[in-house]
Amino acid sequence: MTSPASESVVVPSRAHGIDRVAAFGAAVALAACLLLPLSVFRANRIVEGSPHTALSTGPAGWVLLGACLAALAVALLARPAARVRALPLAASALTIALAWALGRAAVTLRAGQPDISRVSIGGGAWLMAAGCAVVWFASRDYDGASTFRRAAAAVAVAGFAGAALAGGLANLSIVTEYSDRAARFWSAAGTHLALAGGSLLIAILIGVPLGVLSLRVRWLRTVTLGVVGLIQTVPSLALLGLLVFPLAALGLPGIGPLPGVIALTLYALLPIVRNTYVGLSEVDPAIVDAGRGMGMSGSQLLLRVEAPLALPLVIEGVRSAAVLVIGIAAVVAFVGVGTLGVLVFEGWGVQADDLILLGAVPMVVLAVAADSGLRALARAATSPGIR
Amino acid sequence: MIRLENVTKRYGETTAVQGLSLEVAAGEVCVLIGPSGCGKTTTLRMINRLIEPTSGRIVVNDHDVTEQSPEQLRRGLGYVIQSVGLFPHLTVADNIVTVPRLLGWDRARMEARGTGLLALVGLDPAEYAGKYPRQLSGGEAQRVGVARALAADPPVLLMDEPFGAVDPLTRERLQAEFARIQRELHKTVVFVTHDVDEAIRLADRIAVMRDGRLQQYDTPEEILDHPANKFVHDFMGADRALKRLGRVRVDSVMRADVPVMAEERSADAVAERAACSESRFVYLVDGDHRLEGWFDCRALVSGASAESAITTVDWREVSVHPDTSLKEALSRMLGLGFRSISVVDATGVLLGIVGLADIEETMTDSDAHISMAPVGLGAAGEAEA
Amino acid sequence: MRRYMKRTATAFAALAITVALVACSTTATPSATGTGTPKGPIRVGSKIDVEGPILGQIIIAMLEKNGFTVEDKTRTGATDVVRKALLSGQIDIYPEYTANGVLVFLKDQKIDPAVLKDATKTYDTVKQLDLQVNGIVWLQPAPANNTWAVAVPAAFSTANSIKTMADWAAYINKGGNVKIVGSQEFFTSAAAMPAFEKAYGFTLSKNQIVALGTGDTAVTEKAASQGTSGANAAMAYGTDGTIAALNLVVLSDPLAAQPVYQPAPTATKAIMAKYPEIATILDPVFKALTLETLQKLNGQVAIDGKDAKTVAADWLLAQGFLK
Repeated sequence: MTSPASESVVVPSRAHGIDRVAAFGAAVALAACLLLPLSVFRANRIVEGSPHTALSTGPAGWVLLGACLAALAVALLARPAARVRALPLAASALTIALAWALGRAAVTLRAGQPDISRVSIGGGAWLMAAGCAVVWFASRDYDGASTFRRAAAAVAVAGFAGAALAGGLANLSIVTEYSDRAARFWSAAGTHLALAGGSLLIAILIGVPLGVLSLRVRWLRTVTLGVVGLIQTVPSLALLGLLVFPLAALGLPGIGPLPGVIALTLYALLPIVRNTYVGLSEVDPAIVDAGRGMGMSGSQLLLRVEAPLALPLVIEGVRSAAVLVIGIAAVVAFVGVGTLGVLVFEGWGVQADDLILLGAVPMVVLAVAADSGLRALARAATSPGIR
Repeated sequence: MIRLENVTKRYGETTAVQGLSLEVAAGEVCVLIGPSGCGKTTTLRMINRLIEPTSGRIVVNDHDVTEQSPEQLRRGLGYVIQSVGLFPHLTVADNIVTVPRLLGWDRARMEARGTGLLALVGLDPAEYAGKYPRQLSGGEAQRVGVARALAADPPVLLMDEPFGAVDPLTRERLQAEFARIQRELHKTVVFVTHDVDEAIRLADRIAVMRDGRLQQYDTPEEILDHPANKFVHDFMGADRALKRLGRVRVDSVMRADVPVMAEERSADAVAERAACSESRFVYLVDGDHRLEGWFDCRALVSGASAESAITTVDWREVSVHPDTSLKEALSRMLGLGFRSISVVDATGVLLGIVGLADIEETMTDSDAHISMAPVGLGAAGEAEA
Repeated sequence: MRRYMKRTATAFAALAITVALVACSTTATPSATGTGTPKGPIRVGSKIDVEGPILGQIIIAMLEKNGFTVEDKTRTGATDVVRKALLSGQIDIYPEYTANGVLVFLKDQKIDPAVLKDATKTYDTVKQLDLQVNGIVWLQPAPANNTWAVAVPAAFSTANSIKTMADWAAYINKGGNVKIVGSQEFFTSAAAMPAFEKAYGFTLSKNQIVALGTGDTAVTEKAASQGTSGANAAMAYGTDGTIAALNLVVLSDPLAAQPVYQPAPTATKAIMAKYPEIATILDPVFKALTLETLQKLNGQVAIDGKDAKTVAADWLLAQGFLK
């Protein structure tokens, strides 16, 4: 009994009976909802908090439980063909329910409490988010209905953003941390982006030509790859400390954006130089021979043949480097650069977990965005002939 | 058209090519052949300066190859290699017009050229122009490679074992295609191979090389009939006689005056005709002179009826075409168990007959006096690798 | 160019432009100027703890009110980083502690350690020598003493009648159960715990100590408050704002075993020569920063989670330094 929808749907082999992966994710979410705290209340930023499970925080918690059960039901009971749409829908609903429950719980728990009280996101909420992500990824294995899936994702994001903008999440500690220092947050985020982006760009401008030259000049290859490899092994704090000496000798400041940019650029070099070199060296020698034999000059060969063939790998190198420098940009806060790392260190200094999160979560978001963006760029840059 | 004057290439202690001098006339196919390491590929790559000679001079079209920059030179020479080297990120059409693009042709001209060349090499432009190299079979890829080499209409083609990487059946087809294209375009071709049969099939002149030195440079017939030394003799193979037959077309030795019988043929009428004929068979054709069968006169002698002496055949299964080589005709005859075989055109019209006797005559005509007697064949011993 | 190459180039350009725009629009620009013709720019730095940025913001707000263009470079780095920045001229002024001047920056000057027991003597010594040796001017300090201290849970203090370091020393010598969390430096620096031990006659054994790599007192205090790893005492600083919130009490130091750490603005000779009015502007403000005031302000940042800039502005307004 195949419905019309199933004719265009390909169900992954693991999901012909129950969808084991989705069921696992939903079960984790359900367990987290029932057993682990959704929110943690503390009288002030620094004292120990008291955990509260979802159900104890009011009706929103019950809705959340319902959403977890629904996801589990879809994974276990729905017909495989129906799951194509039901799973993304369930994940989307769970995301919105989670956001709403967190917001409502924060309001409920802080009612009548002093202004400095805090409600943090509990371990259960994180685990529910993880379970929801598993359900989402499980749904991606089903071929077909990708527009529906994208729509469901858009709804979830919109719901989340809408809740945040409408102030529904305002009582959450992490949002309070943000509103207490909103201008500084955006400044830090901008600095982080500028530093990482700028260093990446410089690394591309230096690294790609280095990679190209390494192909032609043998000794340069050994030296370059050796040096950038060595740099990679130096821990970032140590590198920043080491940079002070040469910079001082040149009369340049040892703190501030300059050593930060230099350090990030150096770290970004290895993936870029190496991938450029490997990408070019992997070009079939027969192709190069044919190109030369037809009368292409060295630069024409490089530009028209070798570069397009190596480009996907080079962009992959840039992608690695991007994720790397976004992370290390946190550390340069130690030398007086106001990146998101400053928020992390501040939060650590006063043991305010949510301030740490305020610094850390945007970094993760940035890294994921950079990763996805550059993946898409790599795909676009790959000729259909070499996919 | 191409002249090598005492060209030598040394790599440190080793000499790859030693004092090579030869001349390729315009419109000729010169095949360089020899065992691995004999310097044939090195020689080819010196013509388009992918390798520079240690000493000596190479002249193409009355110009020393060192007069221009290597890139300029190469754009005027077509280059085909064994692994084809198509650019995987470009479509077939873009691959083909690589050199025109380097030369700055406009788009319309390049498109027209690409379409024309695809047709020339036997690929449907509508189907293949937008494909990518990874979607092509080995044979198709090499056809595109040849098309790419011809794109800017160079007078010279340099080919380095172009058909070596495909299966034997595809190779035969590609060789036939190449022969056809060459008949049409009359390019000057320098072709490197280690396959003797390929050389004999395609070459106007063969240059046999060994350890960097030219052993013999002559037409295939001459090399087969009069090998210059033991090496050439052994290299060309023990079956030189058969190879020789490969150079002769069936239509050059067939007998066109064949007793035929058309239209009304009662067995007795045929018998009467046969009695007046000297040959053993009378061929039966239809109104358009298409082969339908034959009548074996000898059968009558033993007293059988006229009907039983007639054999009806499908001309497609028992004939050869006029441009078939004697070698293949002989092979077919042996396979069918005949002593003679009919020659028909593409529609089955009977053109003539070739018999064993005709073949023997061809061989006896040659200076080598290779006879079919057992003592001549096999006495050459083991051929050198 | 191939179609897909064009697509790539456009996508890359779009990406790059977006990143640049976002980065530029959100990166901080130097603070706005005050009224009148702008003087400066003055670059104000600070350490990356809780108190430093507050003092830094106080300096910035007062200077801006008096018509200076100020660059906010607070949270410059750890002590050595920010001091180096001052010495190399990358910043013009930052708040530092008087004892630090004697113990760290001028340690080659053979200063009599007895000086450190007296607040005035410490300040006068560092003011004179730092100007002479390094060309750094120390302005009027705050009367608060932000020195090393030991904090214990209030319950523990009441139960065992421990209010001073002497009481604690006696408790330890009696064989009482003690586990103190502090930084490595706290337990090894001669001026810190060893000074306590010498003055009050006790010694801590290895298993009574939990030494951390970090000097963050919030970490140590939280550990003592929660009893993590059995801790019932923590390294603390005199002006910590977290003590009351964690139900801890600071043990007093009647024998003054610890040096006096008073915060004061330190500036380069050059900037003070150019704008001597900086001293007149900042002196009264720092004079008003008592121990209780600093504890309160620190508490607002650490416990209430307010931003240092807001806390500084609110206090200056309340005090009437800003209108």
